Amino acid sequence: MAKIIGIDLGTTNSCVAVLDGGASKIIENSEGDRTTPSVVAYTDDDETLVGQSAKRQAVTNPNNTLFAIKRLIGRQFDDEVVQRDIKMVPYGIVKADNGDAWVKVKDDRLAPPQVSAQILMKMKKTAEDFLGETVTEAVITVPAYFNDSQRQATKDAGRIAGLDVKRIINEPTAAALAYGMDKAPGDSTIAVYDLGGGTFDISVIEIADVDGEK
Amino acid sequence: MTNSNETSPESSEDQAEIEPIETQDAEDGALQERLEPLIDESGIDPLLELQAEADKARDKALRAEAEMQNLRKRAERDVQNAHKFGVERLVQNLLPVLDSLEKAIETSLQAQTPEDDPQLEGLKLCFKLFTDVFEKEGVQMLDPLGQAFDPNVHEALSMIENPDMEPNSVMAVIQKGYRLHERLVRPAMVIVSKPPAGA
Repeated sequence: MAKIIGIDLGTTNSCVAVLDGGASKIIENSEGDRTTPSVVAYTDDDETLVGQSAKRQAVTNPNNTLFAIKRLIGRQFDDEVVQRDIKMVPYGIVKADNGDAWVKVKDDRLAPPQVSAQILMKMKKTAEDFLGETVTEAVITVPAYFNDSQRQATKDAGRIAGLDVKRIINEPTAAALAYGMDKAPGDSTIAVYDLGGGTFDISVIEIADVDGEK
Repeated sequence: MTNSNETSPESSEDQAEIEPIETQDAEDGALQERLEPLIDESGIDPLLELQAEADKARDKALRAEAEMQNLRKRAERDVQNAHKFGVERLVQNLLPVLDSLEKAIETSLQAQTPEDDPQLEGLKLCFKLFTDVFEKEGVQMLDPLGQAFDPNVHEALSMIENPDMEPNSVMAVIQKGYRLHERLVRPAMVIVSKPPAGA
């Protein structure tokens, strides 16, 4: 019976988990790691490396080793975050015909969802190797401050990776759900601190107990 | 209720060993007995409902079995991996010790200590004992000097121009890599050669 996977597509690292008999289980990738660096590299030998191996050769291939793509996904080239990023990263960021921020890789221009899709494909494969069956559905988390365009772009990345993205949920909400699931009944207000690899975010969430369901 | 229904369960018991085919009818007869009052009460055919329930239950059972098989396979694999890679963290934490031992030998040799110096000999033996134990436990050392750079097992610290080497090969090993069975415990930290500018 096909299982649905949950993916944390992070700025620096990504993680995939599945609900195994009522408890969530983080899945180790082929290298034995529970998280995979969100790095994609396009080598001179026309190989696409994802994760640790991409990170390890970054110094030898700075222009085509893409990281922190989450800072660009769903954003326009003229966005100030993108403009700031251009000065910080060694790979080329270019303006697409529709004004979106794209990346320059060798002689090609790629849309950020295409790059993130590579990471999602690795997470998908990680889950499939663990479960021993194909995975087609996923839930992906995004920062609470992501706008519609960024959420849609993340969904697109999932689609390119061969995943039917059932839900895009906010990262602090996911954390709150995981916390609220076994806690005492009734309402509560919690602060979620997310000290991540790319950003440090704080969110305040209210969990309301409505007729026994939270 | 007809008499035949009432008597047939009894007769089936007598005949059970002789005529197994008849038991089916007898069971249906008993079933009919149970259902007749229900048919009278509502318009729904309870047989179909019971059939649907039975199908659902059978489906659930099959799924549960498949799930169990998967879980069993996964549990086996987890135990295997636990055996194989259980020492991974220990190995990782011992690597700096091994590095230091190696460096101690290197420094001694660089200081031109005579080869038969007892301390140097002691260090070398210590090193050999250590690496022998590691080898027995399935730990392999990776010393890729001169080999082609492979990001799956090497980590590039920098790229330096080197006209005497093939581009993208390992020209210096800053720290050796180690592999436990098929899993990389630590990549080899290397300097990679770059073709000279203008080449």
